[in-house]
Amino acid sequence: MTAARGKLCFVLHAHIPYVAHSAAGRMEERWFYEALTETYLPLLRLFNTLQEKGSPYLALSVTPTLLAMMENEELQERYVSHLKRQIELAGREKSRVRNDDHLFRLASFYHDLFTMTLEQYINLDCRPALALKILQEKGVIELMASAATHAFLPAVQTTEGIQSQICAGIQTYRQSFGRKPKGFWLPECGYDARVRDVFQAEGIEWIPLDVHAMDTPDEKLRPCLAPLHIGQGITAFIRNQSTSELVWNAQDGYPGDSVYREFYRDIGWDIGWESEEAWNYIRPYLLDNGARIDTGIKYYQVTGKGTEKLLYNPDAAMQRTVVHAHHFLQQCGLEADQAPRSGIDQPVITAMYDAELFGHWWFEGIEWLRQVVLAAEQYGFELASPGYVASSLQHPGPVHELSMSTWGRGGYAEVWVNAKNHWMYRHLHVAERMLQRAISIAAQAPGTGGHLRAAAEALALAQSSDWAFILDHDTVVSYALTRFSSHLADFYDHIEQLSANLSVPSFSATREDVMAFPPGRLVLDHAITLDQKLLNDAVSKPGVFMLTWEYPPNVVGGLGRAVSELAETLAKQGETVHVITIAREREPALELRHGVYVHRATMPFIEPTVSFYDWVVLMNLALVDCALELVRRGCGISLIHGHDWLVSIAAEELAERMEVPLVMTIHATEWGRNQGRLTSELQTRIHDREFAVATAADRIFVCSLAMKSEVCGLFQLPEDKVDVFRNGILSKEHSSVQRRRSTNQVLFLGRLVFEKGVHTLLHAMRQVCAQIPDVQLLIAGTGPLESELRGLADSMFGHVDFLGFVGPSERDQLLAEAALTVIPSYYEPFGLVALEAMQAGCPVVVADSGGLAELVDHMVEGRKAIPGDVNSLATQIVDALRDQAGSLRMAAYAQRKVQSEFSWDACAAGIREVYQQLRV
Amino acid sequence: MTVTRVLLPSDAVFPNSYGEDVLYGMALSPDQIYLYWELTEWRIRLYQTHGLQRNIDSLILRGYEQTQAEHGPVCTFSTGITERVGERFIRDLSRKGAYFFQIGVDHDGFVPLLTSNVIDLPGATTSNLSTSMPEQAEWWQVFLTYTVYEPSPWIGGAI
Repeated sequence: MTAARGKLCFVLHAHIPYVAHSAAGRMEERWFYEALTETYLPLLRLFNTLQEKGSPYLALSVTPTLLAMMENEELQERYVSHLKRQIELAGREKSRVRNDDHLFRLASFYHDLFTMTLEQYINLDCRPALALKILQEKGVIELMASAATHAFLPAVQTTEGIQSQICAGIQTYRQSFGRKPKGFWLPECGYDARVRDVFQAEGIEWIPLDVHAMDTPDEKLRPCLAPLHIGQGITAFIRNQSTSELVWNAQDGYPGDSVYREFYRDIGWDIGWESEEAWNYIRPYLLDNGARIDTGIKYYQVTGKGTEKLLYNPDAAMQRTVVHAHHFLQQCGLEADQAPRSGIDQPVITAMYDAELFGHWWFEGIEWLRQVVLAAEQYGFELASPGYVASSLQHPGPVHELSMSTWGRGGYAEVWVNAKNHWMYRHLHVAERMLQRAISIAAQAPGTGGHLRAAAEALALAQSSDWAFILDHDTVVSYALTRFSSHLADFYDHIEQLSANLSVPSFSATREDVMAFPPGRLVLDHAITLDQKLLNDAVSKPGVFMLTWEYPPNVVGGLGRAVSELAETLAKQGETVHVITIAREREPALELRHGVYVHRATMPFIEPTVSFYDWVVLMNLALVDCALELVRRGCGISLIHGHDWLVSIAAEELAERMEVPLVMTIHATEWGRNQGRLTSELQTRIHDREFAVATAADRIFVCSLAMKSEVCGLFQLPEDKVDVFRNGILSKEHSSVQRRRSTNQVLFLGRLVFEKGVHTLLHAMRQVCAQIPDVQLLIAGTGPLESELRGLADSMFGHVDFLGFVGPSERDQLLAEAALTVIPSYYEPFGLVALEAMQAGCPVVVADSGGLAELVDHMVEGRKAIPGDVNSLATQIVDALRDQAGSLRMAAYAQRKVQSEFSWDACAAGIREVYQQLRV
Repeated sequence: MTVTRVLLPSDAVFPNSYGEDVLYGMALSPDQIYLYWELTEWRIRLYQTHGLQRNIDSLILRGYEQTQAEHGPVCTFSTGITERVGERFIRDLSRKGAYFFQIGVDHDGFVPLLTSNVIDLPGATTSNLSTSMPEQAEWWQVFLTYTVYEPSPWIGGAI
């Protein structure tokens, strides 16, 4: 039968937790020796018998921790000593059991095995990893990478943390094997969608996954007889469950066959009970503290439940492996024969196992593998590594979305996050976030790289999935707890050395004396060179934290524009400004915008029933969270500058916590907006908030003398606490005053709220229409009064147009064309619209109120009307329209004045002087 | 759906709290989530002072599913909690999808003080966190820039 039935992909995963302790003779170290003796070296022997065929027979992953131990010279020496002890013991056993033929043959078997193993190891120069590299270079096997310390990636909180584990694992692979890996073993097959982008960036082409990854709503998903394209150029090989269970099944799987060697009957447990002499015989081969441990010499076979164990018969066991190998291939064939039903013409059966199953847990497993290799072609299968299969796929096929999944109990995260071990993750996640902050701080502090690397290594060791696994299985719980807490304690020790600014929790932990990784053996460089250049740049510059609810591109009124223009001008003058605001759409969380660092906090999901004031409090919480995270990353705050009451809670809280000066700009007051009438509880509450922050602030900025008078009176502030800084305006190219200007178009720009006086303007326009029939009023803006104002304008059909919200360019166009801009406000702290109209060379009529009164002198820069007086306003509008020449002359003068007197440079320079005074 | 309170190991040597607000969840299986949280005293104090204007009587843990409803996240359960620092296993979730959780207070409506990450249950498509600007709130229609405009003074009849 030719190899036409399909491909059989074996994927073996070799992993031991990092158990290289300084003190020799520990139980945990024996795990490593046992795996070397019973799995890794025998696998090498098997691989070395395989003929090169032009494609790898299978794939093998070797984790960085295992590689590190394999290359550890101290452990190499200790292992050689261990093997010599085993040979010695086996020799003594031959003598002890010489009167029993069967036992003598078994003792001889072990003596020969250990002797051969020692010879093999010496011939490899004690470097099995190098032998694996050579086998890959010959094309016999494909080696895969795995995560740095075998962390359970779905439980890693941050994408950076996942990236760190994967990239460090890949870099360690490259150092060991001299090439980039194409396959990656996710620890415990723990798939998380976040890995895909990392794999794509690192060139990973294939991964093995458990069948639970296919728990998606897509009912048309092919069964696991073919690889799946999961996007970003990555192919997933899904474990074939039915054939896997032939091996893995605890009750009926091959390893439990009665003739196979019984794992749990080792002479390290069996002998030395009957007398002191017997104890003294075995004692030297146990642990130094006298605790019993496996010696590797096992004389019994599984036999069966409830019966006395029979002596092991290696020949019978080896014969059984042939039977099982053929059975396995037959079952694979039955699976493959189902492929046409799913439209698959080249089935791929993926058989994934822990490498240690073969030889260690299942002593005959390696021989079984060899028999499968020998017989595969007979059953029509070609043995191939998944990497080879992936590279030969002609069409990737549709992209499949896969689920978080593992190959552990239940198929998901149950083994690693349950009632026994859940508590670990809170502590790990805190450390993860701490490491990211430390990275930012270390970027500013030369000479701290060593502590940062050591901290990253300690955290990575704490993240090993092995500790949670051990707690779940209730095996060496005390050891796992000690390792976990010891690594975290080490982590915090190094973080503390890095910077006094990092608030390090203190907790006590017994320290485990674990050997440092050999240089270059756990390359966590990626963990400390994360792509956060802009963030590192931002936090390296202490500066003013400017809080505002509104900032471009989110602009509702004038406040956002004013704050951004001020911030950008301050930045141009050399001040470092961090604007803290909230995100409304999908703006970046951090951007450098015209020299200003803009940090945007995300608001949480909030039910529509939440009240306005509660929403404001939640916004302030979000602003504080955002600012505190910057501080934790080492960003210094020299001063808090808040804009208006909406952000005052956060401003006060941060100023108090950071013990820095607080400046508040009061752009307007609740009292003013409501013409002195505070009739509702909400209005009173807002007023009280304004009062409180005005009292708490070290300095108050306002934009006009009128506002200074208002806030000093309203909030009982001494005059020297309040500074007047008139808003500036960014210089713009505007057309000359005369060009393309209409003679009958009157423009209103602004919010449609009571204080803007639009209703007064509409009443005045009736009189204007009677005198100038072709006059046109354009109302550009939106607001709560719109429907009422439209109702008011009903009878003026043809003379009034409501334009709605207009953007900046449309606004400039309107200002360029209008004959006149009217600002009839009852309450106007500054009058930015008037300034903009004047800058555009548009004649203005303004109410003689607040800041407007300070911007315009009557018949100099424009005309003034009595606030709220319809007749006064109508008269000024008619006069302005009839006296075009006069109006344009005043407009030209106003334009020159704005250009010379209202630059942000002067405003910002004045503000910086106050900042300096406060910071001293 | 069951919510199980979890006991920490009695010989833990780790800090009980870290002084940082966090609410974080992890999917364990298609119908189980593990949650842990820490709600700091400053956060409680700030909301008590400025929002509630009295002491908080009780905290509420809410869970929202956000992929299966047409009009945004749906609250699928709500339970009282007493501890500022705690954890829960949320089991037997009947709706497959993506969840997020909030801890907050009832103040004429649920006010969330902490919001978790989005937890995609196996089988759900990956999703991002639902945020909301208050455009749907009644007051947003009249909130313009700096305050909530109460019903305006009479602006005069038709011209």
